[in-house]
This record gives sequence, structure tokens and C-alpha cells, in this order.
Amino acid sequence: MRLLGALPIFSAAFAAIYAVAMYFNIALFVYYPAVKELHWTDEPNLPGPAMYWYGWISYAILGAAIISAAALFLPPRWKERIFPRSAWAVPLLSMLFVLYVIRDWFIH
Amino acid sequence: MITTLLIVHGLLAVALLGAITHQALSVWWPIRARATGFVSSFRGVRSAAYTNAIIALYVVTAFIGGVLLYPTYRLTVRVLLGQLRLNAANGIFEFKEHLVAIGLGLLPAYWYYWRQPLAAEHAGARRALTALLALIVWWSFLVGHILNNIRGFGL
Repeated sequence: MRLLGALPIFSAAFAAIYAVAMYFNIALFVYYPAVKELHWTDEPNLPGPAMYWYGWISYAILGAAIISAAALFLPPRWKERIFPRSAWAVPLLSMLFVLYVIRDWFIH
Repeated sequence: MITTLLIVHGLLAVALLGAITHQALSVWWPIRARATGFVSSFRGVRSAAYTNAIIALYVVTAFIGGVLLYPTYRLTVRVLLGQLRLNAANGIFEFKEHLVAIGLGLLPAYWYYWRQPLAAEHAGARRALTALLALIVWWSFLVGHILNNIRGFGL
């Protein structure tokens, strides 16, 4: 039951890490759909496009799991105050941030 | 095969859209008296009963779209949109891609706050999470529909 209490912070951390990973293009792995290959890093010799989306999501899952596990040790009073708001506010801010990052698609 | 998957993806998205809209309306615009009309009946559902179905539909729809269809999209449709200089179309899909990912991460908190018995002190978090998820699903559905109209079948 105590473990379930970390789920809201997992969601908050996931959104934040995903946005950062996407912005800096930090992917756990890269997928090349033309040749159906997964690689840990970019392989410029392979035919593109390279897909980073799966790597960003994996990175966010890993990071959020670590952060939410650490958050279990926070005092209960903090959890009750921070978790419910951060569970939706951080994803909302991440969505707005992502929209700002990709704004070039809409203004050029 | 891709066309079949696209149709299944679309059908699941319709079911998800209906479920999340029922739930979102029921928490943001709850009925005060016994429901009689169509709109009141649409709002007057037992919203908690939708939670697990919404999570399952979201995950399966995202899997079909994100894992089975997305690589083909990147190889064919996205390139075509670029050649046609349809930047806004590419952009709305990019945003969909990111929203769906953030929505996947949202599901654990969404499930946690919709657990039975519902905690009254978390009503605000439930409303906010449901609204975010509804926004993501509606955006994804509409963008998918638009792009499908541009270049959907015969991939």
C-alpha cells in the first residue's frame, strides 16, 4: 500500500524527465525503422530517419521509477501536500513546455 | 496489414474518447437531480467505473499507434508531409506524439486517485487528471483523423 503512494510522483517525474529528454535529445536507445534496428547511440551510417521517441519514454520510465522510489522516504505530511498537485501540474507544465519547444512547426 | 491496424486503432480511439468524455463531464459538470435528457444522462454516469477501461484502452491504443503504426508513419507519411511543406500538419502530429507519451506517464497517478473508495480530499486531483487525459485523447483523436484524411490508407 505504501508503494502505491509513490504513483503520483512517478507521473510528475515522468512528465518532467520526458520533456527534458526530448529537449536535449537524451534517448536511452535509438530505433531505425528503415532497417528495423535498435542501437544505444546514433548510427549516422544507417538509413534514416532515427526514432528517439521510444528512447525518451524509456528514459522517463527509468528516471521516474528512481525518483518515485526515493520520494517514498519523504515525510507523510510533505507527500500529502506535494503529490496531489504535482501529479497534474508538472505534466501540464511539461505539455506547455513541449509545445513551446516545437513551435517552429507552426510559425515557419 | 497497416490499414487493418489503422482501423482497429481508430475504433479503439473512439471507445476511449467516449469513455474519457463521459468521465470528464461527470466530474466537471455533475448532475444535481435525476438524469432525464440525453446530455444529463451522458453526464450522470458512475465515473469511477470507467477508470480501468480507460487505462486499458489508452495503453492498447497507444501501443498499436506508437509501436505498430508509428514506424511506418515516420517512413512514409511524415516524409510526404515534409515534401508537401505541410509543416503545421507535421507539428500537430509531433505534439500528439509528446502528449501521448506524457499521458502514458499520467496513468499511474490517474489510477491512484480514482481507486475505490474515492478519497474526498483528492477530488481536485481526480478532476485535473481526468481533464488532462481528456485533452490528450481529444487532441490525439482529432489529429489522427486530420492526418488520416491527408494520407491515411494504402501505405
